[in-house]
Amino acid sequence: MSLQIKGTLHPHDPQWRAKRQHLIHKELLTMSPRQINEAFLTTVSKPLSAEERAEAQETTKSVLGGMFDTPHLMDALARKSILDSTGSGTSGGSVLIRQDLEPFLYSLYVQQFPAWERIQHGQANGLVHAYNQMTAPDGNSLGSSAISELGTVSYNQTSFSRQTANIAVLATGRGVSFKEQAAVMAGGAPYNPLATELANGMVVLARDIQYFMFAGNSSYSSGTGTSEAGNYLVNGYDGLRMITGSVSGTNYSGNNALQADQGTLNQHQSIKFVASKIADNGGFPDLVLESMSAKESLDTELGDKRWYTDNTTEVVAGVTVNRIQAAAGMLDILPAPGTTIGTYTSPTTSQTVEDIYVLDSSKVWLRWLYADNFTVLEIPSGVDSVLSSRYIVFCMYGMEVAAPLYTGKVRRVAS
Amino acid sequence: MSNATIDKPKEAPKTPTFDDDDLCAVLHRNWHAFDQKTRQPYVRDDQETYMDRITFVGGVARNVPYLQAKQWVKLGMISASHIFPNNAQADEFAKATGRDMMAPQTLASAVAALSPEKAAAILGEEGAKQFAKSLLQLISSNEKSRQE
Repeated sequence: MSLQIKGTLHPHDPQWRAKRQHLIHKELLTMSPRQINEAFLTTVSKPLSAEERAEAQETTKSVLGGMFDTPHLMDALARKSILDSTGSGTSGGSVLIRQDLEPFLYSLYVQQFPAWERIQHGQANGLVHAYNQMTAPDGNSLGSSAISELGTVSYNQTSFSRQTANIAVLATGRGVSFKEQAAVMAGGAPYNPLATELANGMVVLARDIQYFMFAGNSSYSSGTGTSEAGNYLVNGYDGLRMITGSVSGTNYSGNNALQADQGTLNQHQSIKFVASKIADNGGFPDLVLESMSAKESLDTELGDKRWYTDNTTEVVAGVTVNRIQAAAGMLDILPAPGTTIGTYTSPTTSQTVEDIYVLDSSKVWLRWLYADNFTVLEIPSGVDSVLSSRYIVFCMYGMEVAAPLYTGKVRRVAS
Repeated sequence: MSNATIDKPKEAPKTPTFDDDDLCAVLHRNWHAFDQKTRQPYVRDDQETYMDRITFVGGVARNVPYLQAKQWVKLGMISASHIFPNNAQADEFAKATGRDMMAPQTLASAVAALSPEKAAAILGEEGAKQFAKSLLQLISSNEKSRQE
């Protein structure tokens, strides 16, 4: 079976989404990372046929053209971009959306960071995603909905705070000079420098997405890297550290998310404690995100317990993780590679800590614009008089935590 | 008999002693402290957080077994001087920590709401003058150090 999506479709086309899902989950994620890499190298080395190129050009024109053709923007102004594909003949550029490359890159990413696939995705509703963040489901006392036979029904309202999540544009340009491509070919080395560049570009995007998911701060300008709010980067998006934290002055202080410092309890007990508190608040915690060192420490704690070592689940095809039983159900333990969870000074103990997030995954969303995937754009070679082949890989994502009181964190002394 | 006078031994500061089973009150390290840069409190007065399974409200936990508090001290999570008898009140916490009895945000709003007339009435004319003088000195020395 060919490991390639034939033709290029609009990223919102259900047919493309179905094909892509099939390729990622049924074909690619069942392979090892090395096998995926090999398949990627083969695909990227193979030039598109004239027919495929023409089809990709048409779709690119339609997608980018659709975005350019707004009533507020004059055509002439909008179509001057180097990335413009909306012109006809030789007047426009010939940038291509390379949908055939994306599933490989995506699969390599998801194998490293399965939480990306485990957290639900949804389309954003604007330049920033506006949403209602629930801070309390009902302020009334227990049993207050019971009324007499002809009593007046009382109306109650959930307590919300209106939030906006920035949708970050994450992009990296990658390219290789003609000279290097020719030299590698002449030297006979069996590798493709462009493919290596693209795969490395993907690592950068993946790292930054994870970084913002965990430690991102785009709304609190006083935040620093060593504080719970995180380093302020206006073009990113707010992450779990700040949203589930307790930083006064942020949009999230007083949102009733849970914070527990781990002291004499072990990690397993601490996670279960936070999960039970979330359940008390009405949530159904089912997901734990933590650093690799925290996962290793949990494995050491529970390594001799068969109920832990044998209790695994496949979160995405080919990726299996441990689960632990908490009061309100099973918790999938997903470790995140790298240092993106980061450390900071605990506001309560002043120790350097890292977070372990306990989440009700039905209340956490990754919000996207343009397409729910990474997009690979092929830039026409030599277009700006530079002799190189270049690609841009980009995506647009933000994060919504719809009910912080159904989320929590364990602060663990960083090791 | 010698006329030598014997100095009365200086009274050591009273440190409460507890048995392991005793229940005590424990403070977060950052009780009523605030971030110098943002002027925001580390722990809000209404904030509920947990250390292990113990609930802290506004940075104070009560009914904590002393044995547990001792272990937290050992782990560096709290300071030994932040363990108090279970019924200790904010004035005792303030004395031990050198911080204000009122939470920083409460104190800030109280001071902000104070009119000069009221301040003079409370402090007395001389006291108000002294306070204003020290405040101005502090502000100008801060400005000077910022310029350097």
